[in-house]
Order: sequence, then structure tokens, then C-alpha cells
Amino acid sequence: MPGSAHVRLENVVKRFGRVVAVAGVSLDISRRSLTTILGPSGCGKTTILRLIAGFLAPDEGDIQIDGASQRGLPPYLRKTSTVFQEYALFPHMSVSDNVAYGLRLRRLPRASVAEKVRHTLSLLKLDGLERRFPRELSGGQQQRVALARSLIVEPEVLLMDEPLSNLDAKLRVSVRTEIREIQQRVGITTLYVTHDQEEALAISDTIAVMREGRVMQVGSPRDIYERPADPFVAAFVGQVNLLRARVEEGGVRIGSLRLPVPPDSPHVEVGHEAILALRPEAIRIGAGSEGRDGLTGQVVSRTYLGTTVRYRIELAGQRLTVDDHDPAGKPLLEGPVVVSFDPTRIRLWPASPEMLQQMEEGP
Amino acid sequence: MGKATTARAWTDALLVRRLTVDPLGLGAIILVVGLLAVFVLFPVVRVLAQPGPAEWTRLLTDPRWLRLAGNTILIAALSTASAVMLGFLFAYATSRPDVPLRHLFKLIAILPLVSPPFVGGLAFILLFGRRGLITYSLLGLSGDIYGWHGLWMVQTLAFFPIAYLTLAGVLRRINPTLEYAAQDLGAHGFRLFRTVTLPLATPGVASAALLVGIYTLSDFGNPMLVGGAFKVLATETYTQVTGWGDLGMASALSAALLLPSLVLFALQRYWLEGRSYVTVTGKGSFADPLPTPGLLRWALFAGCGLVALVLLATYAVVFVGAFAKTWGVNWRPTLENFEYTVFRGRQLWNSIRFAGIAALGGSAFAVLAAFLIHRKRFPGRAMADFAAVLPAALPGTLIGVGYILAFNTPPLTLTGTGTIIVAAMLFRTIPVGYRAAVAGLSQIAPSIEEGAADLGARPLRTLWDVTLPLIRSAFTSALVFTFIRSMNTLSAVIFLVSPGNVVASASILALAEHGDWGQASAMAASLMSAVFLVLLLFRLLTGGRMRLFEL
Amino acid sequence: MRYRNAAWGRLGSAGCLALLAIFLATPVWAQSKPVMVYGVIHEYTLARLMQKFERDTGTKADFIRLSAGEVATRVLAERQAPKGDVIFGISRAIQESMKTQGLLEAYKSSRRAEVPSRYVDPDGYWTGSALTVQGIAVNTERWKKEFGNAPMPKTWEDLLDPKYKDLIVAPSPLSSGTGFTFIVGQFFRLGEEKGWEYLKALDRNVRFYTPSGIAPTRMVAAGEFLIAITFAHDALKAISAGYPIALIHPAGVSWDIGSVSLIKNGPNPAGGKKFIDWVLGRDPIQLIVDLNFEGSLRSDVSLPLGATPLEKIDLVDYKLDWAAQNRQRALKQWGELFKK
Repeated sequence: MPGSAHVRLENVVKRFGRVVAVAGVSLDISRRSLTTILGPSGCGKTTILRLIAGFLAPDEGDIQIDGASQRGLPPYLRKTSTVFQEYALFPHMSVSDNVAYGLRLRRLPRASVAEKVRHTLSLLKLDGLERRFPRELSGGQQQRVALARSLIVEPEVLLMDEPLSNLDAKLRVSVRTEIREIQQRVGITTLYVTHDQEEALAISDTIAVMREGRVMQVGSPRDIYERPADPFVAAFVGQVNLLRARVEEGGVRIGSLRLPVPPDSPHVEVGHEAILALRPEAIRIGAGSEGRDGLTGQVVSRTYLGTTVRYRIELAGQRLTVDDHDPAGKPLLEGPVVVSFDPTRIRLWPASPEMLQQMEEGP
Repeated sequence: MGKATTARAWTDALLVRRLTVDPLGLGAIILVVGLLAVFVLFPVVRVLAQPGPAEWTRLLTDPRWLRLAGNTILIAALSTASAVMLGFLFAYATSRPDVPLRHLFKLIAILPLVSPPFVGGLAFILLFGRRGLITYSLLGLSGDIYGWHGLWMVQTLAFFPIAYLTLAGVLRRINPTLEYAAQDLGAHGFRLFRTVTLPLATPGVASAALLVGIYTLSDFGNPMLVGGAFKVLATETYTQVTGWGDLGMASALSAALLLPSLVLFALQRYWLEGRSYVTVTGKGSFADPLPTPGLLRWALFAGCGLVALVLLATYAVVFVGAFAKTWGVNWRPTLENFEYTVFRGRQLWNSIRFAGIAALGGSAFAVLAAFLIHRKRFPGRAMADFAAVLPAALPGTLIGVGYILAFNTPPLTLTGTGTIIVAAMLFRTIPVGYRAAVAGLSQIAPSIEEGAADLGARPLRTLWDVTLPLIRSAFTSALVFTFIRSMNTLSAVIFLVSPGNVVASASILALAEHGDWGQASAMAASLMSAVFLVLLLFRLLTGGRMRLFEL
Repeated sequence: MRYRNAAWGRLGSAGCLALLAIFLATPVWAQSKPVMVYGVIHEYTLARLMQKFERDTGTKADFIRLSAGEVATRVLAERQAPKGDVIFGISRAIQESMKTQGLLEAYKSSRRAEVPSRYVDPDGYWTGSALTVQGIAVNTERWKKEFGNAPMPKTWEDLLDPKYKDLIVAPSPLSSGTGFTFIVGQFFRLGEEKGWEYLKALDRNVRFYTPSGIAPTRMVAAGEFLIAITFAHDALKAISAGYPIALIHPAGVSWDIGSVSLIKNGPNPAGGKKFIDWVLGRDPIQLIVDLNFEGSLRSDVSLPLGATPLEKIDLVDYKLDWAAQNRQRALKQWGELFKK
């Protein structure tokens, strides 16, 4: 695991008028890691980025890089470098001038600037494009130029603000892999901001999930996915079914089914409601109406997608989405079906009124 | 090659057939194209056709005209340079949120645009002339302000608002993220300005310079009042018409003035448009604004403050002059001067109603023209588009001479009527409304209108129901601009006034030329007040939502 | 929100239409034809005069104040379809020229008898209404400051003194009657050849030539310049307003007759004739004398305030025919000689 805390946020608060964009966030970013802040729009993730970059000053709390507080430091004195969502390439400069800009500011000798530019362009596979202007480049190329421009100044921390959102879907996958490779090769501490959970899962060392200005959970991609800290995180990252169950002695009940409480669950009061999270892969579905390890439900709708068949099941008064990933040869289900759950893959939390309301509204 | 043109001809023929299916639309097109041809293109052609070979030879060989041309270019270059610099100062200062009084500066910078351009010249004489309030009464100085140096100062102050508005718009629309990116990489202060802000603003600076250049070239009132022995083409055109009656020579001089104006116009429209570095951004609060360094902030404040004081003094002095019995001699306050304004109130009313008709009619026409030209295909479309924006390049004196030549004989005898004045005002300011409407239209996807057509709406119906409400702001801003410009216009209408149809601006110039400072000031003050009142009224009616001078 | 916009749209359109109606209500074209007067005298006086005309006769009239050159040009340009009925207050030299060009119509008003016959066109095309004499206007304040107790210029030749370099301002004959009257005055005083020489010598001291006739007087009144070639009435008006001016009549002063004429084929000839009959009467002339300080041709009208009696002024022998016939040529030559 990459080393100690390179960047530390301590109880950072940022308000815009009456809106609290960041409501007391503490976060450690490890050296040489790629840490992603993941969350829906408006959750405060971009604000955090700008706070670290120095474009905004925290109202409360502190930001430290290598133990040194960044308070009062304007962006041009911080050792961070940002890749903007719209790339922000200087339209009046060529590719090599754009990339060389930061070095020229530092008054490096011309020969070494040229050498570094050549090296960085090559690293990002931009050879041959030195004299082009940003308007002549494709989206992917522009993105790489922006990255080159930021990397060449050898910052302590690289900040990336939703860098893939302006690319089309197919490109996104290949570019994110490239970014990850470069990041690991150069070994630079990177803070990455996105709302795309698949992206986050694919490239991060650590993910911090944010919502409404707060960090909900910090962990490795696996942790986040397999052990989400609350229904929101569970719903945001990957697909999940959220069901309401009643807590009884030694277990929880949905309809006629009783399930054990998973060992590392938070405490649930007997007699109260709990929320169950079930990823689609933890659910099995079959024809018939057996009642022992499963529940009986009704197929409400069915969508054939080639590799998968997606069923919407009505069960115990609640709705469920189940995927069959291997429908070849099997008849398509309809009518009454038996749904069974893998008890080891259940997550459980006490139901708060807020969570219940969120479930009503949907993610 | 042959195949393509045949195909083209086919398409055009089909289009014409399509048009005849919709007589109302066809009628509208004919109307618009016809009016543009008659009132924009025809006068220009007449002016160019009027001079004979003798006049053209004289124009090119007579050292007097060559000197005039040199003067004109010289003063245009000087005034443009200083006006652009001053405009940039104001634009930059008002864009920094921590410059004190910046909102006041914004307001004051617009003042020269709502008053007649030659009021600057008048006020200048009142302030800095021999009996000037500042030079004589206050400082006891003696100096001669007539000549190119006085004209330079007056024109700079009169026209810098145009540069200011252009540049303010440019600075505002430079993508702020670019400056943040530069800061992120380590730039700040002057280096940031020099490497990023200034290069990005350069096309805007060029654009502003070209715009101001056209204004200074055609400036008529100021050179008449302050130029003294320094004569320029515009004033000489006037002398040729009124003194010699030599319309041929006047036309030749107008053509000479047209040439640089057209060049500037073409440069601005065709070369610069594509090189703009600005985008329309919608980002909200990206960052806490970076504070302006203290020294710079105060320098900006001082610079703008000084200019603002001079400007305020300029307009204040006109009001003072309106109430003084005899300028420079007898300062007793009196209302005598206004008595004349009331007595000749007809002239002020003429200004208001002519400008009003021109504004209402002109804006409607501009919008209609923009819609037809940019949404319909018909033969002659490109020419109509050109005719709609051409007046922006035409000096006022050329329009005046052209209208005299074009409309002096049957079937279109308009000289001696108010109609010709309204027409001159209207067609002179068409480009503004037209351009605004075109810009507005370009932001409306044609699919919206296609949707309406799909549901059965005829083209004009679509215009009324769908398009118009969406470009209403273009209409209202054109309305206001046309009104103000027409109230203050002088160079075009000075040739066209006739008994019963005199407008206030011509009257003010005549009074000022006669040295009736008091009466000239009184009428100028009334004219400016009328414009302000109308502006205020408009502001109130639209609930302050109207953005003025968005250009 | 949509609803509000729609309401504004309708209100706005209604407002615009209402405004348009108001503006068009006072028609942009002429209704019942008023008498159209092209006046060359000072606008304020002209306005007062026209107001009195309307009151006295009940006839509607409209006027526009133009300089002499502008009138000549305009009437010529409009000859196919004249818009004006009467020309008033213009130099008779220009009247002669227009008469030759066939732009005028003869009208022998009964009032002609009240004006000395030498100030009336025998063919009846124009009638004199005022006598204007020229002179030199000097700003006394500046004079004191710059020349102390030295004597002010008394003759035209005094003005050639190099110490007046750039201190003199004169009207341009190309566009002003004043200027034209001045230069022909010099021709009548010295003969044409010597006259041109005088003008060339004077040109060395002239700072520039103004398009309007009254501008030099105005500038000297304000102290912008020291000496102006002026008409006496312009100077007298400035003096009565309180400006520090001394009016000097050197020997051999040019003069002019302001006159009135009827434009041929004007829109309202009957009204025009009415105006001519009226304006030559005692009260209108007195008004012009009082307000404009011009001299009257009628015996029953007093001198303007502060004016030197005519007997004390040495007028040149003004040959009207010569002036009218040679006007174009003289102007052309002047334009070529003097670029200022």
C-alpha cells in the first residue's frame, strides 16, 4: 500500500452564502496513491479539489501538504497542479507552448525546457502534435495535453476534475486506463474527482464517497463495493436492491423469509425496521413457488438484453431487480418465481426515517 | 462545374416555387429586399456615380484633398489609439471586483453614448476655451484648443465608451478557467496579464479599434466646433454641399471617406469574427476572486476617477451653461435660454418623434429582415444580408449626400419632408438591430421553428408565435439603441432638415456655431434630459431586466 | 413565469403601437401648406419674426435658418420641385445670382415704395429689407493685456501688421455671406488685382477661416481670438450682451443689403407674397433692428442700439452687378488661394 498521508484535510468547512458545500470533511490522501472522491453532482467533491488547489479558502479547518498548512497560500504558490474538466488549454498557444508554459514561468533554461517538453509529450503519446493548436485537436488529445501541462511542472499533488466527462463513452475506458498507467509510472499523488462509480472502481487505490458535503465512507474499491457503510453508498456504487425488513430475535424477516444478521453489521433493535442491501449477484431466481430458503414473488417485467435478462420482481410488497447472467438455453421466467438470497452477502442497517425517505425517492 | 450550377439553379427555382405558395412570406421578402435596395444601396450607388472624371481627377491630384485625407487618417489613428487605451483601462478596472466605485465608473463611461457626440466639443470649449471655466476662470491660463490636439482630446472622450463596451464584453467572456489554469501553473500579476489575459483580449482590442475607427472617421460635429484650421473630409463634404453647391465634389469626398471606413468594416466583420477567443461560459462561483494588488488597484481607481471627473464636468458644464446668462461674462443664473428651447420646442419634439418612429419601425424591420434572410432561402439573399449591415460602414455625411441625390426627384421625392429624416435615421441604425437579431436567431435551433411548421404554422406565423418571443431582448435593446442614436445623430440629418422638420441636434450645432452658448447649452441639456427620461422609462417598464448595450 | 412573459409581451407590443400612433399623429408630411421661409438672419430673430407674422396675419409659417451659401445651394438643388416659398435676409449679391439662374419669381410688393429705390431690384425680383455694414471687432480685454495702451487698428492696412499674426479670424466666403461681402469690399476699395494682394497679405495673419459668418465675432467675443472681420450687427449684439468688444469702421467698409425674394414655383406663392408684404412693414423691420441690430432701410425705423450713424461711416462703392456676375469665379479663385 502506498505510503503515509501526503495531503491531509482536517475538518474543512466551506460555505457559499447560506449553502454549506463542504460540511466538515477530514481526509487523508496517501503518497503516490490515486484517491478518488466519488459522489453525485453538488456533493462538494469539486469544491474540495478547489480548496486543495487554492482557488478557494476554507472557512474552517485546515489543509496540509506534507504536514505544511496551505492556509493563505494562493494557487500560484502551491505545489499542486490541476487538470480541469474542460481542459482549459490556452487557445492562443500551440501544444508545445501550452505544455511549456509552467516551466517557462519558472525560468528554466530554454534547452532543458525543450527537453522536458519533448519527454512529456512522448510520455503521453503526443509526438508530432507540437505545433498544433488546441482547436485542431480531438477531445482525447486535448485531455492528454492538459495532463502533460500539469505533469511537467512536477507537482507534489495532481488534481483531476472529472477529466473524462467530456469524452464519449468508448474513449473514456481507454483513456482512464492510460491515466492510471501514467499515474503509477510517474508515481504521483493524485486526487481524482468523478461522479462515475465504474470509473472510480476501475482506477482508484482509495475511494472517498461524498454526499451533501460529507464523506460517507473511505476505503479501497473492494471495501466500498462489498461493505458499503450505508444505503446511500450501497446505492451509489454499483447496482443494489434495498429492502425493508423487520428485526426479530436472531435475525430479520422479509415476508415469510428469515435471514440471519450478518456479523459485522451495526446494531439493530429488535422490533424495529432494518434496511437490507442485496446486490443483484447475491440473488438467485427460479421458477416454482418453493418457500424454504427463498421468497415467492411475481415477475412484473422482463427485459432481454442478450447477455443478461433483467427481471423486475414484486415480492413481499417491495420491488426487486434481479439479473440472470446466463440465460442461454433456459426458458424466460414469468409469473410466480422463487427468489433466494446469499446470506453472506447481505448488508444491513437500522432504518432511519431519512433512509426510508431516500428509498421512496430513489437514488 | 456545369452540373453543380444546374443543380443550384434547380434548387433556386424550386425555392422560388415554394415561396409563391406562401404569398405573405413572399411579400415580406420583397418588401424587405426592396426597402434595403432603395434606402441603403441606391443612395450609395448615386453617390459613387455622381462625380464626373473631373471631380475624380481633382480628388486624386489636388493637394488640398490629399492633405484633408491625411488629416482625416491622422486624427482617426490618434483618437482611436487613445480611445482604445482608455476603454481598456475602464474595462479592466470595472472588471476587478475590488476597485472602488467601479459601478459608478460603469455608469459614467456610458454617458458619452447617450448624448450627442458634438456636445463634447461644445463642453470642451466651455471648459477649456479662452473663456473656459477651467482654463480662464479657474486657472487663468491662455491657450488655443482649436486644432488637431483639441479635437484629439474631444474625440477620445467622445468615443472611448464604444471601446469600453466592446472590451468589457470581451474581458467578461474570456473563459475564467484559463486564468485559473495559468495561476495553477504558477502565474500571477503582470505575467498572468501579459501571457494570458492580454493575448486572449487582443482580437477584442482589434475589434474595438476598428469600431472606434469608423466612428472617428465619420465624426462631423466635433471637427466643426473644435477643429479650427484642421479640416477633415467629413466637414469638407459639408462645406462643399452648403458653400459651393458642388454635389459632385461632395460625393467624391464622401467616396474617399467611404474607402477607409469600408476597409475597417470588412476587417472587423470578416477577418476578426473568426478569430475570437471568447466563449460564453456559465460557470458559477469557481473561485474566490484574486485580490488586485494595492498599487494597481489605486492606479486604476485614480485613472478612471480622473476621466470620470472630466466627463462629469463636461456634462455638468452644459447644464451650467444652460442657466448662465452670458457664458464667460455674466454668470447670473437665468431661465432665458430655456425660453428659446420652449419656443422652438417643435424641434425637440421632432427629434423625439422622428427618433421614435425610426426606433420602432427600424427595430421591427431589422428583426423581420434577420428572420427572413437567415431562415429563408431566396435569390439575392446574400446581397440583402450585405445591405443590412452596410450602413455600419457608411459615414453619416455620405448618407446625407446620398439621400439628397437619391430622393430629390420623382418618383421618390422625399427631400423637404420629415420622411427622409426618419428614413435616414432608421436605415442608419438597422445593422445594430439586425446583428442582435441574427445573434439571437443563431442560438435558436431551427428545429424549433421546424416543429412549428410541422404543426401547420406559416413562416410569418412562426416568426410571431415562436421566434419573436425568443429574441425579444434583441428587439428591445435595438429599440433603445436606435432611439438614442437617432436622437443624437447629426452628420446624416444636417443635409436633410427643412422648414418644420428641424431636429434638435442640428439646431444645437447652429446655435453653438453662432456663439449662442447659453441657448445651445439649454437645448443640449433638454435633449440629453429627454434621452435620459426615455431610458429611465424603458428601464422601469422592463423592470430593469433589459440589458443595455450588450454589444 | 411563462404567463408573466406573455403578459409583458402583449403590454410591450401595445405600448409600442400606442407610441407609434402618437408619433405619427403629428404628421411627418405637411398638411395644409404653411408658408416656407428660408431665412438667413439669426435664428432667434427669425423665430421671433415668424411668430409675429403668424400672430399678425393668422397665416401658418415654417422656417429654417440657413447660411447664405446653403440657401443658394438648396434652392438650386430643389429647382425641379422647390420646397421653399421665400428667401429672407440674404445678401442681394446672391439674390442677383439666383435671379440670373432663373430661380426667383418677380413680385412687386406695394411696400417697395417705402424703401429707397437703389435698394430694390428694378425688375422686381428682390426687395431690400436691411442695411448691414462691416467692420473690425476687437476684444478690448485681450487688447489691454497684450498691447496695453497701443492704438487699435484704424485702417484695413493696419491689420497687415505682423504683430497680429494668428490673432485674426475671418469668415470664409465659400459658405458665408459675410465672407463674400468682405472680399468684394476689398475689390471695390482697391480694385480686384490689389484686392487679391491685400487678401493674400492678410491671410498671413489669419489663424483660420470659419464656415459661418458670425463665428469670428463669437470667438473674439469669447476671447478665443483678438480681431474679427465682422458685420456691425453681430458685434453690436455681442456688445449688448456684455462682451468686451470694440467695433471699428475703417475707411472703405463693405456693406450689404439683406433682401427678400419669392422663389419660383414654390408650394405656396400666395402665402409667400403675403409674407413679403408683411415683412417690409414698419413693425417687423423694427423688430429686426431691435433684436438683430441691423440697419433699417425705412425712414421710420430707429437705429440699432449703439450703432454709428450711417453718415459717419465710409462705405465702399459697392457694384452689385459686378459682385453678382463674378461671384462664382471669385469664390473659386479664393478657394484655390487660401487653404485654411
